[in-house]
Amino acid sequence: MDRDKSFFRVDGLSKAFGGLLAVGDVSFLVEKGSLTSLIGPNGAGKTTLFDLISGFLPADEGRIVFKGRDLAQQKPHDIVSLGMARTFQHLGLFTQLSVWDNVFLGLPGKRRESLWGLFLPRPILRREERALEERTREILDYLGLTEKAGERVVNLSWGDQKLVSIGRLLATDGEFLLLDEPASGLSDEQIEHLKSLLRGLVSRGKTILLVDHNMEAVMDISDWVIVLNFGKIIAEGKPAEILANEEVVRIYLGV
Amino acid sequence: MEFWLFLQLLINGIIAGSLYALLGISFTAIFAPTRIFHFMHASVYVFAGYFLYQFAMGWGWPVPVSILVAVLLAGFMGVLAERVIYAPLRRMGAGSMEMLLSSFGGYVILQNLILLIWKSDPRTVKIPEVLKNGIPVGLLTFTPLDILTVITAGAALWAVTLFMRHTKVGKAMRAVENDPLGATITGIPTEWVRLVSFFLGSVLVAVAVTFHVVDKGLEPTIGVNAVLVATVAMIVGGVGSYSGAALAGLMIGIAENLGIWQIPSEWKNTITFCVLVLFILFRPRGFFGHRMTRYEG
Amino acid sequence: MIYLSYVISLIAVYGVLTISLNLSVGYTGILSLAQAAFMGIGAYSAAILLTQWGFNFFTTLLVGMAVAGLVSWGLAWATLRLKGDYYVIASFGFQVILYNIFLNWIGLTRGPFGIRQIPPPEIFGFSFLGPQRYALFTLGILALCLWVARRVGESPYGKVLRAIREDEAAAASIGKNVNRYKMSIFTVTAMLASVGGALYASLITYIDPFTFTIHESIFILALVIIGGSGNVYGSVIGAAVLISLPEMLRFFDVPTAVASPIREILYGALMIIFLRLRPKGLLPERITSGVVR
Repeated sequence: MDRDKSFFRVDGLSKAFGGLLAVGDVSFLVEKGSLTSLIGPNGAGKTTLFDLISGFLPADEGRIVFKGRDLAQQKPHDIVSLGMARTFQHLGLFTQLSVWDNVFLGLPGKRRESLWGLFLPRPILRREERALEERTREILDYLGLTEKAGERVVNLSWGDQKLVSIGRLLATDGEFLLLDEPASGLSDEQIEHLKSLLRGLVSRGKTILLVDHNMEAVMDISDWVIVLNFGKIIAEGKPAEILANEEVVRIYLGV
Repeated sequence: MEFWLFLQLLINGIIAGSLYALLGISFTAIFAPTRIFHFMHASVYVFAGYFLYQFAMGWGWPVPVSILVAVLLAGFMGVLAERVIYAPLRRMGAGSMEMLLSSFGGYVILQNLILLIWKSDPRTVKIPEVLKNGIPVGLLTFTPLDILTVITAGAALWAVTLFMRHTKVGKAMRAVENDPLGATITGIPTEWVRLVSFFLGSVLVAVAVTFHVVDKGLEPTIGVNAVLVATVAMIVGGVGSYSGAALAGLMIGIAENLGIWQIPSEWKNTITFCVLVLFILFRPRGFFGHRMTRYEG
Repeated sequence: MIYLSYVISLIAVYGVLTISLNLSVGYTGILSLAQAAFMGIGAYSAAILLTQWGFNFFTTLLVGMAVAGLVSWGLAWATLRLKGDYYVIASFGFQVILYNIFLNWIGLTRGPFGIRQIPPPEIFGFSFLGPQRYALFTLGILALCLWVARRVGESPYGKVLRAIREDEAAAASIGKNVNRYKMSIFTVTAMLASVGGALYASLITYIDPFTFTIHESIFILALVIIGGSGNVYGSVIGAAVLISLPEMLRFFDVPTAVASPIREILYGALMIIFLRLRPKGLLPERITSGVVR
């Protein structure tokens, strides 16, 4: 069955640190409107792969193509403007700012944020502001964070912080969302909530690529699963196929 | 230019460069395993000089004894800096910015202690005249002190290299240098390694200041320049490479001395630091350093 | 009264220097050792243009700011992509290079001889000659500087700076061009530092290269830390305390040779203590929260 390469694909990607090969000749594609998961044991190279794709690490070899554009040499902030955005395992939220500010900061294209913005006349600023506030409110509503909007992130629980990080991600208006360990540190109930949230995003047209350890959660919601070990892809396919794959099961249970 | 002039300048360069090599090695011993830009190294350098002065000239101790005690005291000062200033910050989870700023604070305190105790007048330490008598060789001159300087620098490099390769502690230092996280995981006592590296670096820098003091005298301001040269030598040579730092130090000495033939001597310093900045920008791993692979966001 | 005016002016000058450095160090997390170099650029621009070319003080301010702005932009462009430690070393190297230029380019700066008899500012024939007038003038500039810093800090631009300080990678991941922001705030810092330098030159009426050393950079850094990174009012208070201290000691007949080192030891110790106990300094930041409706 031929899968659609036009949205996002990676060809022959490799990255080594000193003598250690973190990612070796990795090729895969992500179809538009799907939820794809990258799984594999610790140290398999998942985070490195994420860093390579999102522009935080330069690759030694290989190509990354997003909507027909080669992403080599692109800076992370430019990649965001192309429509791809990511979260971090450590979340990287701006802890001294409020929930509102964190999400608001994610919104793209704001003239007011430049140094020259200090000199822009008030009416122009107000117009921009109103649209931005509307969008921020929408996102906070969607995630159920409206009551906590004024709280400083540092005071929130981990679960709520996770939601804020997703809120900030949504604010970037990216169509291709990369989530780094979204389920880590969450209770079962929170994971269920997360799962429906992610499927909800896909049904609204987003494409998701995520990395996680939690096999169950991942299998439930993924359209496609890629298994990584020692920096190489050892299996990929629909969740049912992967679950039936003996080598994968062995790696997860045996290691 | 005249061959003999060239040779003389070259020799002067090697002598000056030997001291710079020592400085570079001393700084590498601290920066490579701990990654702390130990600005207080400048204070240790100057304080060692004043210890030497105080023992030999102030209290009349024999010079060799004064040197020995001063060098050891310097070693302990380095260790103290790690325990009192850096370790507590590390435990608090402070970043390198806080470490550096505290290092500056420590430097300022120590620097001004020197001003309070010894004032800012230049001092000298007297050594047997014979050491400073020029030995003519053809059209060249150098002194026994000069020869001693070069030999000491060479010996120091040799000793440090052996230490790194053949002793348990030395190998531990190398391990921490290359892979700090891995070293901790495999059970290397990184705290001890840090103490050793501070002790070693401070001892070496005290040896360097000894030569400076007996040759050129002592003033409170010599510390900053020493740290600068040490930094340049370390970076140009490649962080983590002792022979690289030594070679770079030697080259800087030679370049400075040959340079006065063409460049007015007051600009020597500037050239050195321009070289530093250029290396940092275009080849941060220096000559022999490891490839920088980690991208920090 | 004259002496008091002098001290007030000096505090105001250092207030400007500290506030400007705070914008880079405190707000954005850029550690710069080059503040004295930019101060020197402003001081020498003012001194040279005022004494040799008879320029108007305000013009020299603009020239100084332009030179500092250009140089800092270039420095930032070249060095900001470096990893933390290397960036500091580069700014260290830059500071030393500038110091050497001040010291050795005798044709331009008169080197170690310094420049004397720098006149006070004049505007439309009204001269700020005299300690009281100059104190008012510098306080005025300080107030302006405070206002600029507050506006920057409380603006959307300021929020991005704080985001960068906390987590650069995260800021980049939401589309902020981190280097562009760092370069722009660093340039503002350098330009304001040059203003401080020009004020200094006019106040002391004599400058030489020995003021604009790494020690000076470290001193201003200490003022930022002690006053509170990210809080510009704290910067002024920190400057006030540490500048007036040796003057007060002198009042009690403590000789300068002792008073000066004591002040230095104090600020060195305070810096270490504040970093350990109160990394936020005397006054913590005031971050206004965003709009919530």
